[in-house]
Order: sequence, then C-alpha cells, then structure tokens
Amino acid sequence: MATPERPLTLGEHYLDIGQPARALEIMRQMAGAELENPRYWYLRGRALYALDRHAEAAQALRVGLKRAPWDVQLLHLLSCAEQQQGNLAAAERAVLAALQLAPENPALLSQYGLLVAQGGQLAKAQRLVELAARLDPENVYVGRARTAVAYLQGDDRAATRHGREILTQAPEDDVAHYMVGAALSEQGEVSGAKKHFTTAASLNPEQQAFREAVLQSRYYTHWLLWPLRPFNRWGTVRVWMGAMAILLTLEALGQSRAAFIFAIAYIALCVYSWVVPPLLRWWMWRGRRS
Amino acid sequence: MSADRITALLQALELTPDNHPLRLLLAEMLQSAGQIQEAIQQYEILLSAGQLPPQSLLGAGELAVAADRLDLAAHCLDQALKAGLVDGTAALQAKIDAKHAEKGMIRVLLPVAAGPGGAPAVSGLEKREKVTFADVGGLEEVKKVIHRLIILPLMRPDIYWRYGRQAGGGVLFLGPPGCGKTLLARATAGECKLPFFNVRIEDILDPWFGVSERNLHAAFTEARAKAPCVLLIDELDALAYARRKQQGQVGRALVDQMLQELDAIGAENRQVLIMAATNAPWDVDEALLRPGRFDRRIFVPPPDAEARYQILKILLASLPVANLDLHQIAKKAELFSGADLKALVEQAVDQVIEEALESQAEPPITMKHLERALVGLRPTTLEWLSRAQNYVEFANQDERYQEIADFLKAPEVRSRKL
Repeated sequence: MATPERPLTLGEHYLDIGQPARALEIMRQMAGAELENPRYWYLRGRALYALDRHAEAAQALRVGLKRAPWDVQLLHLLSCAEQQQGNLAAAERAVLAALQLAPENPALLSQYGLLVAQGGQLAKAQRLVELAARLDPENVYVGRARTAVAYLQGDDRAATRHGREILTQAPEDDVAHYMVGAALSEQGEVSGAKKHFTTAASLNPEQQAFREAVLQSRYYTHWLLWPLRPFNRWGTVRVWMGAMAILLTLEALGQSRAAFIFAIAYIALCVYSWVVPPLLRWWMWRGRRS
Repeated sequence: MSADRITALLQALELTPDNHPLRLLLAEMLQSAGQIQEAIQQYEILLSAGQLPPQSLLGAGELAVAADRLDLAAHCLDQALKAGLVDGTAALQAKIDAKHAEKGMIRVLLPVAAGPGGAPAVSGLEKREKVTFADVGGLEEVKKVIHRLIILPLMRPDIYWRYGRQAGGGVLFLGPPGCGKTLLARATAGECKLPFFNVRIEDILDPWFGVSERNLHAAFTEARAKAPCVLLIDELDALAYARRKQQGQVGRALVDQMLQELDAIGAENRQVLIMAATNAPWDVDEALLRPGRFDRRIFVPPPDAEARYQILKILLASLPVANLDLHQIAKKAELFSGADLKALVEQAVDQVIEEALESQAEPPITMKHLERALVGLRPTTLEWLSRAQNYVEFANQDERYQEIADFLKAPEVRSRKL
C-alpha cells in the first residue's frame, strides 16, 4: 500500500510549526488526484490565511467546499478569512452553515460570537461565548474569544479574570498575556500590564503588537515620567484646578513667599511635562522602524 | 608484573608525552596484557601524530578490526599502503570487508521502521563526506572553535577522557540562512574523516501513526551501529519545533522521540557526534538545548569581508575574469551571505552572456558587471537579523541569544538600522 498523503503530511507539519510559506511551496508541487482531496484545500487555505492572503484563502476554501460541503473545518476557516476581509455577511453565512452541521462546537460558537461582536451586537456575543465556555471551559480559543468580548464590552475586570483563567490552563499563551496586559492597563495598573506585555513579547517577539505594547508600557513606567503621575492619575484639568486652589489658598493665608515658590515649582513641572515626554519617546523609539 | 610495567610506562609517558617509542612499547604491552581498548587508544595517538612505524601498522589494523574499530583499521591500512607495504595488506583489507558485511547483516536485522503499508525504512543515509574546511571560504574563527570543540575531542580522546570529558555529544550550528551552517557541519565530518549521516524532516515524516518516530529512531540506530560517526540533523527547528508552540500532535511526539534518542535511553551515543543546523534557534524546543543535549552552540554569522573575498574567489575561480578587485566587491557586499554572493556572481554572468550573444565574442567578467549586479541586490540576511533582533531585545532573559546579540552590536549591522 502506498502512502499518497506524504506531501500533505509534510505540508501540515510545516503549518503546525508556523512555516506556512514552506507548506504552500510543498502543496504547489502537488497535482492530479491530490487536488480532489478536501484536506488539500483546507491546508492550502490555512497556509494562505496564515500568510495574510485572506482573499486567496477564501477562494481555496470554496474550492474545497465544492468537494466537501459538509466540512466544518473548511466552513470555519472560510468564516475567519471572510471576516478578515471585512465581509461580515459572508463570514456569518459560513459560520451559520457550520453551526447547522455542528451546533455545539465551541470553536464555532466563539467565532460566531466574535463576528457579532465586530458587528456591534455585544450582548449576543457574550451569550455565544458564555455558551461556548460552558461546553468547553478549558478551550484556549474559547477563552480568548470570551476575554475579547468582555474587553470590547468595556468590562476590564471580567476580561482580566477570563484572561487569567486561560493562563491557568496555558501559562505560555502569548495572546492571553497580551489580553490581560491590555485589560490591566485600561484599569490603570501599568506595572502589572507591563509584566504581561513583557511575557507576551518574550514568548512571541515577532508579533508587532506585543513589542509595541512593551515599549509603550516601558515608556509609561519610566522613572523620568514619575513626576507627571498626578497628570496621568487625575487628568490635566483637575491638576491645574488643584494647583490654582493651592496657590490661591496660600495667597489668602498671606504666605506670598510660599505661593511664589509653589508657582515656580508648578511652572517648572509644566515645562517638564512639555519637554521630557517627547524627548523620552524619541529616545526610546530611536532607530526603530515604524 | 606486566601490570607494574604498564603503570611505570604510563607514569613515564605522563612526564614525556612525546616519547613515541615508549608509547609504542606501552601499546604493545597493553595488547599482550589483553587491554585491547587501551592499546587501541595508544595506537590512535601514535597514528594521529604520524609516529606509528610501518611494521606496526598492520598489527594495529588487525587489532582495530577485532575491536570493531573499522575506521581506525581503514586508516592503518591506508597508511600501510602509503608506506609501501604489500605483505599482509590484502589480508587486512579482506578482514575489514568481512566486518563491514557482518555489520551490514546486523543492520538488516535491526527493527528499522516500515510503515503499515510497507513504506520504505529509513536507511542508506550514510555518506563519506569529502568536503573539508578548505572548501569553506572564510569563517576562520568559527573553524577554530569547531576544531577545539569538536574535532580535537574526537582525535585526541585520551586527553579529554583523562579530564572526564568524552567525544561525541550534540553541537548546534545557528545563524542566518545561506551562510554555510550545513556546509560547515559537512566539512566538520570531512575533517574528522568519519561516516556522515544526514537526517532531514523529509526523511523522517510519515503519515502513518507512529512511523515518524520509528524513522527517527532508525536513523539514530543506524548511526550508532556505525560509531564513531557524525549525524547531522538539518533544519532542527522543523524536526524539533518548540512543543509549546506546536499545533499538532505529530511534532510533539517527534520532539519526545528526539529527546529520548539524545539521552540515549537503552542505547549508547558515545562516539556519535550529533550536529544540528537551524536558522530559527528560537523555534527549537527548549528541552533540546539543555546540558547533555545540544549544549554546545556555534553561531555562524554572515561572512566578514575577508570571508566574502574568499567566497568570491572560489565562485569565480573557473570563470573568465579580467581586472577584478575582489577585495573592493567584498567590502561593498556587506552582510551578504554565501548564497547572496552566489546570486551576485550569477547576475554578473548573466550580463556577460548577454554581451557575448550580442558581440559574438567571449568577454570576461569585469568589475563593471559585478558592481552593476551589486546595485540590484540586497543581503537576504537582513530579514533574519531583524527577526533575531526582536528575540534579542524581548526574549533574551536567559542570555540564550547572547552570541547573536554580540554580533548585532557590530558597526556594519548597527549602521543598517534593522
């Protein structure tokens, strides 16, 4: 008995190890009966999707669906590829067709949840991802969708909680670290966020978003910006009003000398806030490609 | 009595290690005392120093055959033939051949892999490597490191053995693609004059469940049967991709199998030098980089100006050239890999062929052709260096990429603003 799927296995292996270009190269050399195999089209679609060639991926997946219209994996990936191109209606059609075949598939429910969340239906999205989480509480993909929906809803505490739940299952999940970092920074916990961003970037430094998040968090926690923390904590207007109130109070109490020193110190702080942050930003981002 | 004499000779040799007649006497005494391995060690030292007298070559060769050291036996035979010996050489050759055949029989009987459908087993990976360091342009520093870390322990096992170190083990070559990692590994095997096995993912991966792992095991088994030898695993990242990043199960099982083979559970890796090459060290499973596995890592950087000059010289050696200042081209081709330099020469050749077709003459390659080709080329190492920089900056907490970090500080790299 021959082993006709050897090149496909090699292609799938290259996809599993994050080398979609190699996988595509191998699949390009295949011909004849191999092209009738839906798995070929699924893997081809996966490779193109990983290379951000979403339109070509959708096209390949459609060819596969002509051969196997019942293939849930093909439909799921097609939904993702259409979503990436902004074709939300086509993405929804694909995921609904998949859900008809597998109504309790947690990954499909999560994909549908993310899709409706992108369309602004956050309550429906939450119901879908919660249902998916009940069906498979340990699924990392579901956990990520749940965290993302909570984040989009503005519920940063829930997003942090869901993200940390993923990390108990998969402590080295870079996306979960990034999501927890983002949720924490929304809550003003910049140091905690920095730790998670740093971990995400160390796990996957090739992800531009992770690297940028680390740099941003390093910038915001830099000691040179410590004097400006009141501005970050209470906002510029409140700090100005507070400073004026202190100044006027000191004047009213006849402490003109103290009021003068305070005014000078406050003006120095303002000048510092205008000059130092842009200089620091320039210094930290120097020599980097945008 | 003979034990006392052996001890005395050993002590004397410690004081005068270059006393070759004394060492020969020791080897003969060890042989007659039945301490075959020790005797072979002494013969090997004499042989590598070129001090084994012709009349002892055949005896040492026969001893090596008896001890299953066919490489040493073949070496003795070569030396004997070179020394003009005739008597006894045919007999030694016959003994070596018989032993090879016997080993071949053993290999057939080993439980090598075969897929459920009768897929071909992994075998026949062995080669005799003819490439040596002379065929590798430049990279002198790297060659020195390889000599110290790899070749010397294999050539002078006695010294290393005395200090509790042994030959073999794992060495990882890492660096940008096209810079000669695989070539260096092959040249190392060539320098060691050992049988060479090349293992690639295409040889190992099989769609049948469990067969990929069996194929990997078979490759290691074949190498162990031919020890001392060199086993090169090309593209280690494809074969042992970090398990935490793996999306499939096949890859994980392969990493587990690889770890078992490296730890040699139920087997013996002594005298098997396992070399691996990768251009994505960050994708290799961390467990493989721990001590006792691929703990010796050699960074193969893009060639420096001198190395580029050497490479260009090799590439243009058989071509018609005129008035070339290769030093100047090498200087301008900063960060070009060996493969990039090959592309440069090919582009120059294309221009010359065009000119030849137009003029019906045979113009040589000149500076003009190379400089024109240089304008249109960009070093392919830049992309790798840019990726590497991200790992150095964000994922170098345990200084795993320190050698790359040091290279990135070089002025020609920094000036590129990766």
